[in-house]
Amino acid sequence: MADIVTGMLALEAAPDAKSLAEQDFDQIVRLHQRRIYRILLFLLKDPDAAENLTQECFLRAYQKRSSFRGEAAVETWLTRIAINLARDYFRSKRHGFWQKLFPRDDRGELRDIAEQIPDGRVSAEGELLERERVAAVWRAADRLSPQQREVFLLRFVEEMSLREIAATLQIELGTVKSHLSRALSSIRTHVKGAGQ
Amino acid sequence: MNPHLSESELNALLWEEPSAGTSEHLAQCAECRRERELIAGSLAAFRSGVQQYALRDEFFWSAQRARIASTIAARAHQTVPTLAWSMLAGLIVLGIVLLRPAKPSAVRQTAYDQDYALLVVVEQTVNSEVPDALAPATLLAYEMNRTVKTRSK
Repeated sequence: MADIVTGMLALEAAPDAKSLAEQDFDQIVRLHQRRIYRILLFLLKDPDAAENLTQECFLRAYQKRSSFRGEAAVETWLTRIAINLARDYFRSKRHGFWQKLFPRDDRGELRDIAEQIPDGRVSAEGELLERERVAAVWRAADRLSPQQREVFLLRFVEEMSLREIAATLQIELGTVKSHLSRALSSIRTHVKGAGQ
Repeated sequence: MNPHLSESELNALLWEEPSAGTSEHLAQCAECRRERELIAGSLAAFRSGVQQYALRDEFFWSAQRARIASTIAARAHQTVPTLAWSMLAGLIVLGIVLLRPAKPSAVRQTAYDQDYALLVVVEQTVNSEVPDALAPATLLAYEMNRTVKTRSK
């Protein structure tokens, strides 16, 4: 199957997309699917939706590969597509309807993430405290504005540079710093509250 | 001793290298160091938690790749029948245009008009106020006149 996709890519790709077409599309998916899924899972907090949108992200990337001009990294381009898909998902009426009908309980995800702290690294008391702090970061992140959450995610989960974040979200560097500062102030308040 | 670092200065420490003055302050101020470590440590633990939470087994990722590849292949095959159907529809339209029946000729139209005019005259004559008993004679006279006119031409 990978050969079919690669062959089609080589045949159909526009000259501008040469740098993307030269790569095996299956290889691109293989390289980035975990990251894209993680980003979408963080933003949507719904594993099924994150899985579907990860797939859609790559299909859209394949469909629009001629618009990729190599000015940004493939990683940046794919992240931008994923974030736009997440925004569309939140905007969609269907999502709003199902959210109202079956409001999601985020405590399940919160517990799951807090439980991912490796055991034995700290004392039992320290571990408990760390879990509380992780939960506090999660709660604080959940209350950020959508754009602050995106910036926070790209910086502190994906460890992207500020310039990469600005390029991905197509905003000014100063705006990235401003969003980060506000997000951190909120997180600081929650973490201090959890530590007391 | 300088006052403690402001919140914005502490925040900036998490995404950029500290200035010489900030580094010097941090070296001397245990409270600011503790403040920085608290947030940095919490964020690192959070990052680790999210990364662990998003982990899936290899089957999940390979199944996803297979779905993506099959959808791309299916969409590529769909474009061929679409093109074929479009061409067929175009040929049908062209055929309809080319095989459309031609308009009747002017000569035939004229003949039709004359016949129609005659029928109108006959009907008017039949419906005139001639008594019913004389109607056949009237018609006979009309026909005779018509024959004479035709011969005279």
